[in-house]
Amino acid sequence: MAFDAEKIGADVRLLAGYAAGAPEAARQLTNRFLPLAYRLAARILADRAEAEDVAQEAMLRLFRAAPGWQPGQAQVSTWLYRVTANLCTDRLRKRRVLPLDDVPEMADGQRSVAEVLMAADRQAALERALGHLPERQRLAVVLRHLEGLANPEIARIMEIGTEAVESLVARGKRNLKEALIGQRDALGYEDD
Amino acid sequence: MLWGMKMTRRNTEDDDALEQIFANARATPPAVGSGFHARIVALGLATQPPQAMAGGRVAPPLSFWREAAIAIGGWWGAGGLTSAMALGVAIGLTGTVELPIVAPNDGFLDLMPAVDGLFADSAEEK
Repeated sequence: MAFDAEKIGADVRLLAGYAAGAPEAARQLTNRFLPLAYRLAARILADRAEAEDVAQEAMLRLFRAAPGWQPGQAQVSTWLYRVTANLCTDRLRKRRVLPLDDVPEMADGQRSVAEVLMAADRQAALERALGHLPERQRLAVVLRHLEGLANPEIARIMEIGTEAVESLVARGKRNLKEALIGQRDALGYEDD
Repeated sequence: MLWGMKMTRRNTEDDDALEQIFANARATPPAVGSGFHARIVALGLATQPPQAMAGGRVAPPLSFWREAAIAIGGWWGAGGLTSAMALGVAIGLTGTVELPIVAPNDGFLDLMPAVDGLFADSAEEK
């Protein structure tokens, strides 16, 4: 907890330094926050170019917000997650909605979970599976299980209650399993 | 009962499998390319407010009058403009009735009086 407070204070000082025109502050801010914005965008959008566009816009907003940043307001990382998530949502809504028949299979129905895990393209499979989830579930699952955030922080990012986050994550995981594994009978489990 | 136990075991295995997929994804996050990173640093520098002066203070913004003076060429420019304005006001106040003073003879202003005399003298000599 003390470490978190120290980190939050360091983030705010970094913003203040940037706002005061301190040399190296732009680079330090980029080092600290660009990976966060890009990672989330790439995981949500599964498209490198679009993720870069979103991350760039999110960082630009952070740079512009720095001079007016109040130490008591949201954590910088929470704020940036929220901005990035909203930009991603906008992108997703502009995308053409694929008919379900056009969506590639998430996993070979004849393969077990263990085999899926052993496959070299499991990362890509996860991305495709995430792409099947409704936007809010996808965001909640990515923030919870890939970004490793706690539910209260996800609630602040998504501006919903903690219980709603729990529900979104649970439904998201359930749908993700279905998408990744395919039919339950094809998992390779033997009915003994 | 046996079916229920098997379903529970499947759920557990599914959860474990999914957690392994998540762990793998966390271990290999999408990485920011160096070119993209450099672009964002440049963007940050371009967006950054002016550098603070010694002591951590930020240079105060220029006053309106200072900015206006710079826009018209500095204080010399401002002085010239003020003189021109004063002259314009003076002419406006005195009116045009005083202008014949400039051409007191016949009301016409002779712009090149020496040249007229020169031609006249040349004709008489011939």
